[in-house]
Amino acid sequence: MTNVLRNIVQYFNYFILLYFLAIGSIYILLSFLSFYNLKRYLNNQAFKDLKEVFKLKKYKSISLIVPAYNEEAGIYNSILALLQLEYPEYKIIVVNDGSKDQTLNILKEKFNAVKVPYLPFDNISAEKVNAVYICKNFKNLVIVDKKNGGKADAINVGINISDSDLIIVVDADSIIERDSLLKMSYPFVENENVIAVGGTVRIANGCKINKGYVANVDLPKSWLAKFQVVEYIRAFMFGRNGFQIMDGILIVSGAFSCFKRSELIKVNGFLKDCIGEDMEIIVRMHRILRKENPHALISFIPDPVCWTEAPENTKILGLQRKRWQKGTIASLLLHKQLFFNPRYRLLGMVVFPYFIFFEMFGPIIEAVGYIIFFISLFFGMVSLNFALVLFSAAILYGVVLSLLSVILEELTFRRYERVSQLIELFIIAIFENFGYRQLTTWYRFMGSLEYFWGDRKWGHMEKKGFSS
Amino acid sequence: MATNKKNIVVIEDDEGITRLIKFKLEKEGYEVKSFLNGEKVIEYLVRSRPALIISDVMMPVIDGLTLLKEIKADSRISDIPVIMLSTHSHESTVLECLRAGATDYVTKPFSTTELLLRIEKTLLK
Amino acid sequence: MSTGYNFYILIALFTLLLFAYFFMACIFLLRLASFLKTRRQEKFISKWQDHIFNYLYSTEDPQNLISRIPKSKYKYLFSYLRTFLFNLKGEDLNRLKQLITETSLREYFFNKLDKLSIKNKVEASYFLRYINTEETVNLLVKKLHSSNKLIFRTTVESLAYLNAYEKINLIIDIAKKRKNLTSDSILSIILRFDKSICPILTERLDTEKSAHILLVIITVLWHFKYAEALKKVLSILFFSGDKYLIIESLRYLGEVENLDSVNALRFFLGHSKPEIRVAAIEAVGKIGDTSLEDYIISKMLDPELEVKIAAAKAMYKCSNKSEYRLLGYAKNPSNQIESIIARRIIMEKRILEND
Repeated sequence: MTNVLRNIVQYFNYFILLYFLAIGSIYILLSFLSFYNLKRYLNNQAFKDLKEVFKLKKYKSISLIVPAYNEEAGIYNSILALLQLEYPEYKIIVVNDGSKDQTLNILKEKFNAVKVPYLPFDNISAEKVNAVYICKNFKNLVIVDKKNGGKADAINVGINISDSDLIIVVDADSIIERDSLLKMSYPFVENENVIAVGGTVRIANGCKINKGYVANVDLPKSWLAKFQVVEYIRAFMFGRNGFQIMDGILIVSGAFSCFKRSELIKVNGFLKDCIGEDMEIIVRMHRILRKENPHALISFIPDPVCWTEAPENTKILGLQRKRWQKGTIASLLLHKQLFFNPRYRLLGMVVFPYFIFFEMFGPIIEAVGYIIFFISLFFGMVSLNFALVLFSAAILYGVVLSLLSVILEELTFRRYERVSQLIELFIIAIFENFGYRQLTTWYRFMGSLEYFWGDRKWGHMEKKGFSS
Repeated sequence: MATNKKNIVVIEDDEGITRLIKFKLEKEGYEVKSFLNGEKVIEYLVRSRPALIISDVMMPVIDGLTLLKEIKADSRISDIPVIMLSTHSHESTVLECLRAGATDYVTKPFSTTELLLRIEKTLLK
Repeated sequence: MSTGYNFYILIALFTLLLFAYFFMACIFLLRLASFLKTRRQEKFISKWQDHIFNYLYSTEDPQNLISRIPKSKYKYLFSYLRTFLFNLKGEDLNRLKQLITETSLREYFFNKLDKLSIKNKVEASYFLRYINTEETVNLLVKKLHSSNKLIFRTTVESLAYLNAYEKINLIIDIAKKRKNLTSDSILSIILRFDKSICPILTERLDTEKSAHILLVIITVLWHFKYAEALKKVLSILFFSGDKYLIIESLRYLGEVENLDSVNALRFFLGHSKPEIRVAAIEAVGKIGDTSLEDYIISKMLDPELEVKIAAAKAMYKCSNKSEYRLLGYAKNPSNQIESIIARRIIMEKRILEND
């Protein structure tokens, strides 16, 4: 009997080993693809004058939709900053999602708002709109007050009210680089098959923020936030750049993403009450719109365009990561038709299965792996030597990957300018493999458990707002 | 302010352009002080009261239009003429600048000779 | 697991360690390289800036300046020149261009165009736009056949800058054959040309079969407000069944504001597709002709919301009659959709117009 058990444990150990080898090779492959994609992008940018767009009459008009729920601390400064972006014609639609604080009153007072009749151009179903305001001194600012219905619902109201070609969804506390709109709209101007564009997000903690702009890029003081800096660089540099080569962008950041309005209408807007509405919409757009137009494309801008606040304590980080994991699982399961579906080419055959195996089940396999490994160690089924060597190999491999992403950053955008920051990035890249990664795996594992066996609620993230 | 050496403030985020304007104006006997954006400009203006301001429209931190409005709202410096300089050739932006009190508007690409003539014309008034 | 595994994993461990060191070294070297590059660039500027500016405002021979700058410093020179070439015009720009056209840099770029690397080719074709000769145009035209999209784009942009409008037919023919160019990309590339391409494009309207090229051409004509193509656009409007082509043509009619298009517009005001009705209403609104006023007023009762909104916008400030009807809707206190639309449009226009 114990023999059978022993065998099972043994085979499971082999399986885990295989799993790690597989994910390791995938990352190596992705890094090559990313490198190629970045090179192509930079070559493309080198002799392009972004400001030429101003001279063409045929740019795309943009609506920035800013869903706001209890944002009184930072909303005024955020909107002021958004009003100063570089673009020939854009509108800002702030959607107050039934805030319980003074968000709406601050907006109304500071911007001289005048109430106008509510006139939607489309009717994606959403909660009731109480009032629409336009502003005397800022002609491109629209304020909407509606009954609380969650982020997706607020965005849908914004889509209904907008009459622009492009919709950009931006979190109220995101910091947007001034030429972001030019960069984000370019793929749409160049190619009408582009239906959505995602941008690169970086961590704003530690940076010097001046009137809503990143005046000085620096690393955060808190270690938890430091780890997230390297984690974000890795996720965007590797993952998205690599997947773009395969036309398989499956996630765009909810903090800053751009959509063609007509296509959003076709898929009936964001899905209400869905965990991770930002991922779900992308998967759904792929699923529905690619049937209609096989060349439909979701693109990605490797340039850092948006800076966001990262949680600095484990409690909030935990909630955030569990929420992301639940969102990923929900989106994948809702659109499981894509799984090994040759009609969606590389997206269906490679990227989607990757997400199922490594993003959805990954944390479970890893967590169980750790447990079984310790059990077999405890019962002497593997030698302590072997365990130590294997463990250090895994850690070292993580270090190598983290360093590789720092290399990619160094080759491309080089936002951390001082040598001392570079050395710090190194140290972070090494230390994040001792504890932080395991911690995020644990949160994702818990997120998966909660999704399948319990609480499917969104966790709310506390925000402190940027002071100017 | 009766001297022929006149003081001009240039606010422009592109260093190359700033240096070129500075070079050209200094050759003509003006004294030029440059800023990379609209930050801390107001204090300087109040202190040194230049004869003229040249400002880009799109700049980080404080953009040209906001700066223009601040200058025009400040009674100590609201009389200083401002020439706006920008890539925007959209009519609405030009009108917005002129409405906010700009004396003149020069669109990029621009010629330094034209800019100089406009400066001279403004200062003659 | 046996010690056999241990050995392999140790080797893996060792390799990984090597990689980690190697990567760290790489990053430092990269940083060092970029640091040196920036410093060299700054040194270049501080050393040569005054020479360049002095040259700009003097009658100095351009070759004199160029021959003093060592070839190894060219890359700094070019990135420095680009800002000015992009931002200056008039006499300043002419003097700058002479640095390329009347010096050894000319040959330098001609040679670079035939280099293997894409980067070199793109750079050369970018700077060649400042050398306005037939030779340049011919060289660039050859590069249009390049399989690389980036080279194609830069080359067309350079041809546009050189105003080689007689090559536009060739450019479109080549663009049509390329799979990776959609109508928007073709459009954004050929809009770099100026109005002089319009007569050639108008002629092409007769023979062009592809709906997506026709769409591009009409958009270009709209962009430049080229009124002489009106007759041909009108005939396309009636013979084409393509929705997008019809909408684009209607936009063109609105832009050129010619009363000859009134009949066509009246016809399309009653089209079955709402998008087309909207485009027709907008065109009528732009032309501001009152003979179709009653049709526009009746469109307030169209079943489609977007058509109603377009009608209300066209009625605002069109004539006393439309204005009166629009106000009539607005004053009606009911929650009828027409009244809401009228109130919103009037308020919005008034707030945005008054300062």
